[in-house]
Amino acid sequence: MTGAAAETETAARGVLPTPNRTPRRLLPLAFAGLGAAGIAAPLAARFVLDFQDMADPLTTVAAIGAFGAGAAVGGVWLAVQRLMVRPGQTLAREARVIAHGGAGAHVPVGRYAELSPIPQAMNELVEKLADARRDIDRAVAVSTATIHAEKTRLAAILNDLHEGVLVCNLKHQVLLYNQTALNLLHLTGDLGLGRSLLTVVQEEQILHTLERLRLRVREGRHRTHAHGTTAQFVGGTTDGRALLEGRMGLIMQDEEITGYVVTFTDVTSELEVLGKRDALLREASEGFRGPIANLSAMLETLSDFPELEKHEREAFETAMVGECAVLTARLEHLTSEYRGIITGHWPMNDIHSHNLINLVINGIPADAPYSVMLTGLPQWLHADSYSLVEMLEFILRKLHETTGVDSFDLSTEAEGPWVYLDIAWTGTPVPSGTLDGWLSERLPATALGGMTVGDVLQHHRSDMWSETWRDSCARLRVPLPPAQTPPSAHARPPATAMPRPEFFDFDLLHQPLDTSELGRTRLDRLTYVVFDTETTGLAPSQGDEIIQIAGVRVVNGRILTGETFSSLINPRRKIPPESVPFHGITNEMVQDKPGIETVLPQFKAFVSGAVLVAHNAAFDLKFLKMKERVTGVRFDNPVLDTMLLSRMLTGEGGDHTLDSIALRLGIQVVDRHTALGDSLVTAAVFLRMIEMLKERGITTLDDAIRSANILVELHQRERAF
Amino acid sequence: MAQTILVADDEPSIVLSLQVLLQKAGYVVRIARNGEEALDAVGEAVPDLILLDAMMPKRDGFDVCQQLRTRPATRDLPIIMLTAKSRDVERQKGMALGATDYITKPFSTRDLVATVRRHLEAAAGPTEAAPLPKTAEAR
Repeated sequence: MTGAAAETETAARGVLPTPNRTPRRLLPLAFAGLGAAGIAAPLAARFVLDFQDMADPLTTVAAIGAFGAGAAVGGVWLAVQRLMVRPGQTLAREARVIAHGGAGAHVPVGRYAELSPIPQAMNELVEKLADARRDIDRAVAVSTATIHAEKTRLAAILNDLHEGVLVCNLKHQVLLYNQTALNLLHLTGDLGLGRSLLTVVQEEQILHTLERLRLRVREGRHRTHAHGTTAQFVGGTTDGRALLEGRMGLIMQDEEITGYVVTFTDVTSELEVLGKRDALLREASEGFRGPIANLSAMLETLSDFPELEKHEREAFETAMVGECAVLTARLEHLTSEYRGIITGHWPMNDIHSHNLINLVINGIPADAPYSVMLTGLPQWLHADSYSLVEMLEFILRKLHETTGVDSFDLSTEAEGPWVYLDIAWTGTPVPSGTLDGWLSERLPATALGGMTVGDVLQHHRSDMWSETWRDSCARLRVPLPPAQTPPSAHARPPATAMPRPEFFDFDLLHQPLDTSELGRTRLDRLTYVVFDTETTGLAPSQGDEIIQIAGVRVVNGRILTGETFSSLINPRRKIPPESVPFHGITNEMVQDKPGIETVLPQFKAFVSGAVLVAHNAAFDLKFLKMKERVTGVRFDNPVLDTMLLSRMLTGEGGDHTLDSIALRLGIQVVDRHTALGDSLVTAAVFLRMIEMLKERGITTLDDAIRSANILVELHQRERAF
Repeated sequence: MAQTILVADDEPSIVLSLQVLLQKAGYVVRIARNGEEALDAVGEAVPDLILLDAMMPKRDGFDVCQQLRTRPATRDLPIIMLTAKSRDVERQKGMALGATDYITKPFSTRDLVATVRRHLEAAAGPTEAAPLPKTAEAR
């Protein structure tokens, strides 16, 4: 019985590709056993009977009967083998064939007389399977047709576009291209699906733009950026045949960059024309000025001094005829060259200076014998970032070779009509004559088609020079046009700063004098962390929490913009919607962020050994103090408050908000009203204050703390009355 | 004694005009035809004022100006730069490299003489207001 049960079970599992073979051998064994028992039973019976009656005829009959039974069992086994086991195996094979084969196959029922219900059931199953397959095929056909129609429509649109369009994955393999792209690029190389874009388009510009966009997304700036996840670029084909002006857009899936779209036009002839037009304009403005100046000077001289000798007048006349000839020749040249020149523009973008400088720093080889540090406040400027980055990297290398200096600071400063890009170092300026020599040097980047330093400066209507700066320092200045869009358009809509209560929680700010070396150190030689916090509200004692903390290191009078700390904090409570306009931080933004107990120890490590500086520091300190017990983090760094310093320097009256102070000190700011942005502004304000304090004889940390304490005590007394 | 003005320009016709103009105004005029000559001329005898063309062969005016500012004898010498470039950037560069004033071609000869006189007076009388404001303080 167990053997049969096993067999049934095996049949049920028969669909498995490798059926269990053991139970099938049990069947013949079982029948052999039965046969053997049939033979053995009468023999055994005869053996027993032999004791009673040795010659019983019945015994013989029984023996023959037993043999007969044995044979019958054998016959039955053969029949079962033939009618059931073999057809079963055949049926299994056919089922397998049907499962893997095409539709319409049937099991011939007649062949399996004994097993007929099984093949019938199987045929029903086959039909159901065929139906299901037909349904799937139909559905697939419909979808395919829809997709095909959409694809045709998309292809029609793409091919109709004046721009070349390419879609690539992050390995730069082309996933899609249109006819225009093919027309523009096929002369350069094989443009095909799966081939790398970089075999036809110069990689520098593609990689540079992709890096810019990745940086933008990594820092979350694409959400507020006017161009989102796209950026313009100018690049060339690998054979230098064509110059392309393009736009790159990231393809994002679930915040993950999966590829990019490039649209581009061939601007080779346009740029050529532009270059010529530029040269002509230059020629017109500069070439005409000289002769005209000379002529007018001579004329004025002649009319002012009518008493001139004859030979003197003749000399003037000859010179004037000569100048007129020069003018005429230049005008002729200009007219003939001007023919056929069309207008256009150099593709320039509004760029955030920190992004530009970071690109410069990232582009410097790791084994370069010099290092570059980003310092100062950010500015928006208008430039072609690619050529500018290439030029700056070139200039840095030349500066190192010329001066031997191995450490440079890169910063920007808005002054007058320009945003100056400054490279500063300790040492002396590079002579103007040396710099002029660099102007004609070609930049190594092939994508720039042999552009020189002078060309890049010319496109930006700029120049460069090197001058002494501060004590024993020098800098190289490149004035650049400021951004065309007002900075506010790039930033979050500004909210008027939430009026923070002025905290004079005097215990917080009244500090013991630091008698150690730190206290005697000059203010401009100390290391500071200038920081700011954003909070859910103004009352820490009533449950308001820190939601962002940021800071920047200031070392030896330099704002080290590359060494910043900025972290969002999950306050584990709802952020009041009315506070969002002031800090721009929503519940969604903090929900997956670490809590205060994680962030404060990190911040503590960041500020280790530094003097803390904040605007209205008591406000931030109060929040930090409230968290001492929960986080186990105590901040015992010396603290300076720029609001208190402002009161010390400019008197009690007046406005001591950060905005007003920055305005008074002429500090131009972008990125205000984020914790990091405010820290940077505070840092710039603080550096100016150090100089103002020095003029009043306050030069060391102890001096500053002592003066602050006096002011604090005055306030305490006032309040006591 | 008459004050000396060094005119450094590579264009003979402007040199001719400036020479007559300034001589008539009562100054002694010396001529240099390029940057090297200008530096040599200053090396021989320091003039009271230099009219310096920005674009010259063998060291341009910017270079000459920067060089002169490194020498103690010419650190405070009035240097007026002349240029055919009108761009504000050039002016800014000239002032950053130490020019006392910057005049764009073409100019009125009367204005030029007036400017020269003003700077000579400013240099002679330290009680006068400080020399013309230099570039916005470098910072």
